[in-house]
Amino acid sequence: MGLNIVGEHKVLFAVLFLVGAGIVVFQAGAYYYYQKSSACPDPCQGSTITVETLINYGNGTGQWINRTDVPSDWNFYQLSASISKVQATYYGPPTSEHLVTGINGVQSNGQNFWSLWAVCQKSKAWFATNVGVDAIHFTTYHTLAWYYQATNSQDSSAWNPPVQGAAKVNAC
Amino acid sequence: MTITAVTTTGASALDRPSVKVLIVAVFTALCLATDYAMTGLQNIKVMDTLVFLAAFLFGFRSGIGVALLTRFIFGLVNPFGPADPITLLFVMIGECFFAIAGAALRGTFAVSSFTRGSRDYGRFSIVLSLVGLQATFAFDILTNFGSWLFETSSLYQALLVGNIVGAPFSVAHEASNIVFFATIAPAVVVAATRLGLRTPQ
Repeated sequence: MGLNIVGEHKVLFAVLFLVGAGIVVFQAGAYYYYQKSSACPDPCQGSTITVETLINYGNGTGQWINRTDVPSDWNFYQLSASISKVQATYYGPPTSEHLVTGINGVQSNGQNFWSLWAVCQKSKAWFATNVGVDAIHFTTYHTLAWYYQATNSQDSSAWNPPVQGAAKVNAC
Repeated sequence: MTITAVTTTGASALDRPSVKVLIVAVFTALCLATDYAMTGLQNIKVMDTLVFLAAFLFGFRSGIGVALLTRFIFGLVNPFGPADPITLLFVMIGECFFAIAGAALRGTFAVSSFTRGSRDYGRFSIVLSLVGLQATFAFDILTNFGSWLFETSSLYQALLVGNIVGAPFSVAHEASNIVFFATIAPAVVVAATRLGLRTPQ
């Protein structure tokens, strides 16, 4: 008894360990860049900016909220929570993000959910954002929307924009 | 009585096609049950370990069957809404990496040495966690790339952006799978081998 499988196959184990170490280094680097890219870029501390937010309840009603005093180091979750009553589930590290489940008492359910949109400055058209609410900063987007829409697909290219008839692009 | 003798005795019944179908069904049910139970934990799933174990214990085809069926059902009946066809395709292919890893490791020295009666449980556990990490990494790279494939202007950009934006999710996925592969997988392999619930290599 007591076969030492490590001793018998040193090279293979060494390869397994080296590849494993490479993966750890790769992910640490990717995570570092993620943190760096989702942090507020300089110079953004101390100043305020104007952000327009649409909350579309999906039943023909909606409201535009214009705020001219948004701290430029805020993210869109902070802004949403300041202009509406937001219900959200918080996921701790490493994702550290909020999943918004309700706005002003309108809750996501099996049939409907709150989707997140922004106006792409380049194409002047709405697009469904690819990142979560906590990763949206106002250095890139100044017009954003919450849209309560039917859960028919996770494929955002099939969704309607939050403003009826407005231009829509799949990527910014 | 040796472990090898028990394994050989139990092999014939486990090789029957009807039993293979049952094994795939049971593992798929287990995967789905744990997936739905762990919905609140982002990217932390026992499913990958179960797919790996299905392939490791019962062969490549069983593992692939569990991987494809589980991802297909979980992709369509998902608490966050049904997956789009592209995402579904990528996660189905990605999940097969765990089946490939299980089937590949099944035929190696690690298993034969271990099941011959080695007491290197700790080291076997480390081997499984490293293999699990590598399969999970391959899954994350592929699916992060797939998520951004049609939202960026080049394949390189999709690979880069997808894996940076997806980094927190990858970290959670890989860290949890290291733990599951180091704890659940060796325990199940030892138990299944002793009970003869393993098809021969």
